[in-house]
Amino acid sequence: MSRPPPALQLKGIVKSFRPRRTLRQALHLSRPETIQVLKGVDLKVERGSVIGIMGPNGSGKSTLLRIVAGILQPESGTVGIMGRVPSTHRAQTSRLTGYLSSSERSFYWRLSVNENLRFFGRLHDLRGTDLRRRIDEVAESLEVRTVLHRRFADLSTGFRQRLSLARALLHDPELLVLDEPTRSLDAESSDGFRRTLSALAVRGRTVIMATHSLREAAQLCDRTFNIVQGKLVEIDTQTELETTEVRVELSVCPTARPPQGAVITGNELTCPLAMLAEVLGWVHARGITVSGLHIPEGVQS
Amino acid sequence: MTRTAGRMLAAAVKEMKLTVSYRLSFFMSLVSALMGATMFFFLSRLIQGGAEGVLQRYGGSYFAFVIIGIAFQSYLNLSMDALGNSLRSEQLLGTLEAVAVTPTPLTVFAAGTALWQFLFASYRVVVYILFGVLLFGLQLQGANFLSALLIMVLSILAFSGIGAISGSFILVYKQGNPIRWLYGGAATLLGGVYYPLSMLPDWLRPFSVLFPITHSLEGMRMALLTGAPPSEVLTQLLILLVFALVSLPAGALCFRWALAKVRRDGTLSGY
Repeated sequence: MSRPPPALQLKGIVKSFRPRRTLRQALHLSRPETIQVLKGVDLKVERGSVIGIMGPNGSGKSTLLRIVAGILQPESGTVGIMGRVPSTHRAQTSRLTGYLSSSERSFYWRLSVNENLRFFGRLHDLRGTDLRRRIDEVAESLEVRTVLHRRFADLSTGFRQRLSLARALLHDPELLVLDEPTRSLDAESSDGFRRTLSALAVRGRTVIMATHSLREAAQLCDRTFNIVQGKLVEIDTQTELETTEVRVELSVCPTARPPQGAVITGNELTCPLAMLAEVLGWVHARGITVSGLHIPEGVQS
Repeated sequence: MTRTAGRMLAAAVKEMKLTVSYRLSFFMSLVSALMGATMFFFLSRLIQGGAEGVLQRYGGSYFAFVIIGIAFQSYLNLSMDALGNSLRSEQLLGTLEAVAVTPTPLTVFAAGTALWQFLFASYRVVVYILFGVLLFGLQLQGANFLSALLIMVLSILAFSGIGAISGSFILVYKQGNPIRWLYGGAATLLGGVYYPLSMLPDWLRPFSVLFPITHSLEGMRMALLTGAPPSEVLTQLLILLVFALVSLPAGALCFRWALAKVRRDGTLSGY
């Protein structure tokens, strides 16, 4: 028996953007320089895996996810979703994929939550009792049942983000493409989000998500990649957490000994990212104010 | 219900709910149709008598002439604008990307959105004509509705093709749409909406045949005001068919090209 195709396969994805010409460039008839964001991305994701994509702002995380979701066309390279190519099997790959955009504006703010979900469900060809059942199921699992009849505009950021996931899950896709799903969520909501994603992975769904949080990647993802100069470089999140150094600026120089692994130099405390929560707890317990926190770009936690 | 019809209906219902949610604007658009008809009634009284000669071929009444002109101009403009308006509105709302990742093609979604706009425009056409018949003595007893229907269907097809080209400009350039400018502005000037084409100077009149609205309105007035059967509006029907046969494939090609371009450039949802 032949092996089923991988949930997602990317081969040699290249994508460039040409910024709009300025008036000066237009007058000189010169072309602005093309910015190559992705320079040959290869990735094979087996079914049921959770994949994290990290990297600083502008590194190409969203571009990569938008290519997977079929919103963007790569210049070269191929995308395969469960063995199907989005450019030639768009309808089929759309049914297999659920996309969570990082923008809150992707809903109709004047309509109720239920009306929004019903509309997007209908565009996925769900109807009647099937549609009602799916809305009930996702509303239950994401704890948004209480807001179903409220206008989208009246919801908090946390609810809006959960509804983005609810919409992505509505047609029960095999592959979830999530662009910073926990951005602008508080700690409790983020934890709830992570629990939902873990449960989906247990049910065999495949997840590819962009995140800025190394801790989130370490908790959730089977494999995590950094986008470095347009290519994917796999990282060991646990090692990264232990070796990435963060600096905590304090209002006063502490006299007590810091937790093992942290070093105090004047008003500054240095520790591995993995210890950050423990160190901040220690600082807080001594009534010391944190005046600055320096975490390397792209690995916020 | 077929899959495509279900998707279109969903888009139409969504559009209706959004329109009705802006209550004041919805109410004002209902009332403005009545105000438009009243204004043209008084205008027609002003020029009554003086224009009977040139209007003889349409039954002699300026009010009847102009009410058909403006009622169907809004309908035909909509055929041309529906696709572009729908995409532009989704671009501004920020929802176009969320729609684009569903299996529903953007053309089907836009057609569904346009369906509500057509229903709403139909209301305005009905109000214009009913108002004219009930309050201002518009005579439609001898109208040939079969001819009017044929003219209307072919006009919508011809204008929708141009609308697809217009929508392609909106998709790529977001604002600034030369097709709308050309067909909206010049067709009003040369299409015979407010005055008969015989009023145009000789050198300008030949340009009017380049616009499908000229043939739509001519056929529609002949059908509704003089009761012309399909055989008498055959010329208009054939010209509109040629417009449709040329503009629909051209529009489909343009739209496909525009969609591929914005997916390549990453500007699908940009505004």
